[in-house]
Amino acid sequence: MSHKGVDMCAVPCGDASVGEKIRKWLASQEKENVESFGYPQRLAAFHKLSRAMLMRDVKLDGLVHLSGAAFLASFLDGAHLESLIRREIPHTDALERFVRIEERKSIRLVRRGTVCHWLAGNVPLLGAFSWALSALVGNRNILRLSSRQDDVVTPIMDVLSDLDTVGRRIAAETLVVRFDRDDSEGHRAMSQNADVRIAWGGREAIETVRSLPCPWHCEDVLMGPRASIAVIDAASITEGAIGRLATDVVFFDQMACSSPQLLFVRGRPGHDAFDRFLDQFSSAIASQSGAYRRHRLDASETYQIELDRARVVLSGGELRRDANTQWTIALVSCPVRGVVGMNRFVQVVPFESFRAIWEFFPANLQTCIVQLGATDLVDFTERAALLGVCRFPLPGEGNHFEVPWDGSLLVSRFLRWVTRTDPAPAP
Amino acid sequence: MIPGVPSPFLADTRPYALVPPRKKAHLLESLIQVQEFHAVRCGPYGRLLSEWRRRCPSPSEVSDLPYLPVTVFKDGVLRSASDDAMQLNSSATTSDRSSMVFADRETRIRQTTSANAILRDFVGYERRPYLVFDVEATVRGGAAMSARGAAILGLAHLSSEIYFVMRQEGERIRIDRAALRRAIDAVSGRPFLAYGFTHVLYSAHQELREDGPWSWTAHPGSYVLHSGGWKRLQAIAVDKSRFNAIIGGVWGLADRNVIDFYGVIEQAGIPYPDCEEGLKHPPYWADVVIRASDSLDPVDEGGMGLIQLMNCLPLGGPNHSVLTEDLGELVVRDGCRCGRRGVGFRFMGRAPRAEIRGCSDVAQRG
Repeated sequence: MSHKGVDMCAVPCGDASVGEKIRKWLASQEKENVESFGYPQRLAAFHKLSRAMLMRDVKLDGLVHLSGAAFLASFLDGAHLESLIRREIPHTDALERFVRIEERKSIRLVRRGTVCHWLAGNVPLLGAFSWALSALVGNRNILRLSSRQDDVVTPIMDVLSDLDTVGRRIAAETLVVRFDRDDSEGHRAMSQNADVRIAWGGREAIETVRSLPCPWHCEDVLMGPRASIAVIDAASITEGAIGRLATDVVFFDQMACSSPQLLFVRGRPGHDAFDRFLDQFSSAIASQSGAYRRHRLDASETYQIELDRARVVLSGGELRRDANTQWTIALVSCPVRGVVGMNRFVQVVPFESFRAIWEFFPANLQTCIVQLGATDLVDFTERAALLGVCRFPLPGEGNHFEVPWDGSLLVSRFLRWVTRTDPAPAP
Repeated sequence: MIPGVPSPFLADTRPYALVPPRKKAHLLESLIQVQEFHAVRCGPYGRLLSEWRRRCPSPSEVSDLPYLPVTVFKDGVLRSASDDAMQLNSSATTSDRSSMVFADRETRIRQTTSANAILRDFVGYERRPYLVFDVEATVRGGAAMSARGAAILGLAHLSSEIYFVMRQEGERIRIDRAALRRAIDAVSGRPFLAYGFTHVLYSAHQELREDGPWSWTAHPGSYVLHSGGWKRLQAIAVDKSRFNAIIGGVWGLADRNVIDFYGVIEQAGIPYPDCEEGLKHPPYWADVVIRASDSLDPVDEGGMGLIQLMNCLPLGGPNHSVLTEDLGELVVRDGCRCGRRGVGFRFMGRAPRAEIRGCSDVAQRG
């Protein structure tokens, strides 16, 4: 697809090879003055994009239904982006020029060059977060979508390039390629031209990217595969927070690494607080499952849901579920071995002491949504952080992308950190 | 006879003779008896049945009855019979685990009666020489039996004599020309029955073709049966018509004499041979429900989805109603031109494994 001077390949690259497209695009980029717009101008452009998305620009009609589109719009808000940047980069002036950080030491932050993003199937908007942060600090970006995915990126680029010259420049610095996951030539062509590789996806997708040849200096940022949980005190959580917790489960159909699969709930079945929690949580999951559209399940996903349900019941657990395959809450005394917990399937494990649940924390843990009393929160998070948890958001914030992510800084890895020793001041 | 579980077989009734309303009445009652039997003997199954009843207390259709996904038979032991029941093991193709299902003596008798009745409806009642494209060791399972072994023995009751025509050579099994020659000499122009796992049968016949000219015309009333799935042949781009041409070509048999039948170890005793119209039919003591791939609702004619299989035979464990990972198409509810009554379905193959989606992962034990 080519539009408004933006050289994009947002269609399956069947006619010309992906490598050829990338080579031509990179050659065209070299001719441009890529330093022409700095961080403040780029920040302003993203802020305008955020406004356009919130105002529902007609070009984005196809995105309205997409999980996370509204969150992406608020993510791109200028003040929000700046706050994220400042978490990692105290001296943002260093994005423009050398900035003195010690008496005789200055630092300058320079874009790395070409950042290649492999977007996750079903949650492609997650990749838009990394694209925005990378582009904000001046990198060129290549975004790879599966040929089976809807192209959610090009409509955003259309809006961006219509905003102003800065937006047009950022869009022109973005190449969208679509090719099949088995197209090894396409993957290789991207990887060989990457200064940073960022991969979103499951185990197979991540390992595919890791195994590709790349320049020796290439930085790898791997987002996933991870599992997430929630730890809740049934006695202190409000009905509103329970509804937001349900949203965390339902929103990406648990396809996101931040989606909780296991809920550890302090309380005892048969006691008021716990039973109230379970009733309200079930109602919230049921109503939100109806409200939030989801992808059409394929046979293997449906089979997995039925298998998970059977495994829970055969092992002594209880189910709350709809009549079909929309949602499942499994009440179990401990996580049932083999249960995948995908497509709105969550296991609820009652507990009374934190000591009883540490052993059930997954080794590949990312997010732990917490709703605990103040003292418990401090005690719990200190220990859980050592067990691998990367973030402790509140209910409703589980899927809010933020930096650091997966336990690592992000923006700073899109930059080269350059130091300069300054001459001694004249005596 | 087990108390509370009468024989599912009706006197003087052919397997596919019952009209749908009569079949439903017979099957629903029989299946409920079987599930009650398992519920009191197999604790985990009893829990599953209780959970199901909360949602569906009064089943009025066979499709209202509970099922177990076949994978749970790989997870652990689900048994209603005593410890001396024979264990049947599936071939572990897509995972490194095989299913464990149990068949006590009564179940094995039922399975044999069932398989005989079904297969005779396709190949006739007379006993014939039986050529097995496998090695004899496959059926020597002791306390456990493989799916291949069970399938071979399932046909043995239709035979007058049995000839194994392959031999073990290292890791491979290959055609044993001397054994085959002896078998053919013994058959001596009579109609025979042959069976092999689909990929084994194919490789054996390829070997026969490659090793030199082979000219021996079978009696036109002979049948070559096979089962076990097409996965390995699809990988080398061999479809059903090419397969039939190769097998039929070796023996000079028409396509219709090469019969593919579908079956799973969890439903041993119920082979599903292709009829003349290319469809598969359950006998009156079994049924098939095709469930929509997304909602699991039973589909209408023309609909595709996951195959649920059920039958009244198993007393060794609660494998009488299973949701498979296979896809099928419900072609007719009744009225197949082959004359067999009831559901006619087409087997579409194994459901593709879920594409990896998103950056989520299965929680891994720490």
